Amino acid sequence: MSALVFALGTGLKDAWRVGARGVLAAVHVAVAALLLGLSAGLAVQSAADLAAAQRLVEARAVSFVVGNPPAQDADVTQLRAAVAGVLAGERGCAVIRSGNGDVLVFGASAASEIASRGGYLDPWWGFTPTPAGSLSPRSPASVAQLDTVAFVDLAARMVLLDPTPDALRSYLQALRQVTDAEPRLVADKIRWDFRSEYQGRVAFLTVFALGMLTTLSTTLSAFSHLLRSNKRGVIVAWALGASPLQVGARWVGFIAAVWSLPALALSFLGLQLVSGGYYAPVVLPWVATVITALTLAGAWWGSRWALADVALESLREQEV
Amino acid sequence: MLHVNAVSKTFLGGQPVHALREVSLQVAAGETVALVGPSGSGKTTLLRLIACHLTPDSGDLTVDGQRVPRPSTAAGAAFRRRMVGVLLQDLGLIEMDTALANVMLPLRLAGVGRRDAARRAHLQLQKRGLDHRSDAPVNTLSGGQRQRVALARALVCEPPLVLADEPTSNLDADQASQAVSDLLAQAREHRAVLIATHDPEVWTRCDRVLHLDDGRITPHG
Repeated sequence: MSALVFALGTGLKDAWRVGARGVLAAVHVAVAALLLGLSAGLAVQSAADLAAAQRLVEARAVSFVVGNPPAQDADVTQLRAAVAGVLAGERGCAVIRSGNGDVLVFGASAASEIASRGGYLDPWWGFTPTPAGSLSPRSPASVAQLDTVAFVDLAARMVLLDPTPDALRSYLQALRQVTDAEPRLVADKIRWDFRSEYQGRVAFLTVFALGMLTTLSTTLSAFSHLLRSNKRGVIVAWALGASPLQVGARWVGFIAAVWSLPALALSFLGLQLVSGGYYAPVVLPWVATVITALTLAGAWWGSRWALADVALESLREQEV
Repeated sequence: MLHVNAVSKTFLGGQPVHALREVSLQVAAGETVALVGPSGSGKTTLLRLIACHLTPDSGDLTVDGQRVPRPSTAAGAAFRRRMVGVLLQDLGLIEMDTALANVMLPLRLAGVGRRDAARRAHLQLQKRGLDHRSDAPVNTLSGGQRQRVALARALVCEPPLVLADEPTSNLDADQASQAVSDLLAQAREHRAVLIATHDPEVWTRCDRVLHLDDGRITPHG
């Protein structure tokens, strides 16, 4: 085991020793990883937004456009009853953006299912990725304790899922007693807003993907130079009795140092930048798995390539 | 100690190269044997086969009663660590490592602890008058010093067989003489020593000379 650890450590040391080329490759790896992380984060985020939007469309969700703020002394008795009815309903839910931050009111399983997808549609501000940790679920009881202004604000921002005509009429009537309000199908809002949003994201991802491909090809080229730099040391170690396992460990250490560590760190950073921290823990294991697979494949390939050269060198030197 | 029996090796490529054709030889413990021949005669290939760097197409090789295993196996690695000390033609030193780290390498690969490996490596360097340069990076050493570091590394695991490929090719006359003396001295420690060389100063000091030409052992002319 100690010999294996030694071989792994030697690989790390090899990476350090290759100096300028190592730094160059690490910079390329870092940029590629950052682009990869940002692209992956954005792609996952977009998929989640689309799924959330799709659910709202399928649920024939209705939101409201509100005019004037309510008077302080407005009677909200009927509105409280209407909100309580929505929250208690099996198929009704409310996804709300309040003045104090994002608030999700759990009214039914459908709401929590949408919330679990990690984002929700804010009918006023478009798609809003929502870090799960910042959501404050509120019970109907806590909603009942809000003062008049806060309560009306909340009620006006509710989204009704799959409402019956009677339920919608009743809710709208209660809302109009305290403020101007017009119902809107969320699907319309999505159609109006999402087209430009979608086009923007596709353009953004395309530019990122092109940048990533360019950087990745340069990275692979730098990586190939690095392998050549390191090959001699590996062959010498092999000739002195390093076992196949030790040679593999040495390559793993080497490749991990110039490839995986910066890639992991910067993928994480990229995901954090895009998702505000929410998607990093979700996507990172996949990124880590891919990088680990790349590292092991690189180590295997590097070992075979280096050792196969022992025989070829004999021919090249014509010292047969 | 070393038995090579009817060993053949052909390198396949665009044009197949018959590097060795049924070569047989023996080297006893405590004996020094020079392998001479023109470039391309098969000297290096024979050393690499004995050192378990290559697999023969046919024939048998044994060192100290142990058959030389396939190079890519764990047994092959163990054989390279324990049975042969190799002085490569270009020395094969890790240039940016210290002399001590280079000599420690085979021991560390064998799983010897750092402290013990350092002690044994230091002893080898001391025997060759290099203990004062043990912490110097190899690329700061002279040709003769590098050669002695490589020999220290080849011997640090105390193998029964020492192989050297053109050990004097990059040395001046004095350094070459010292290097040959150091190599030949290994026979006094009951090791078998096989040296591939072009240098008459080397082969005239060996117990026996074998001539290799076009992959065959021929009578030395």
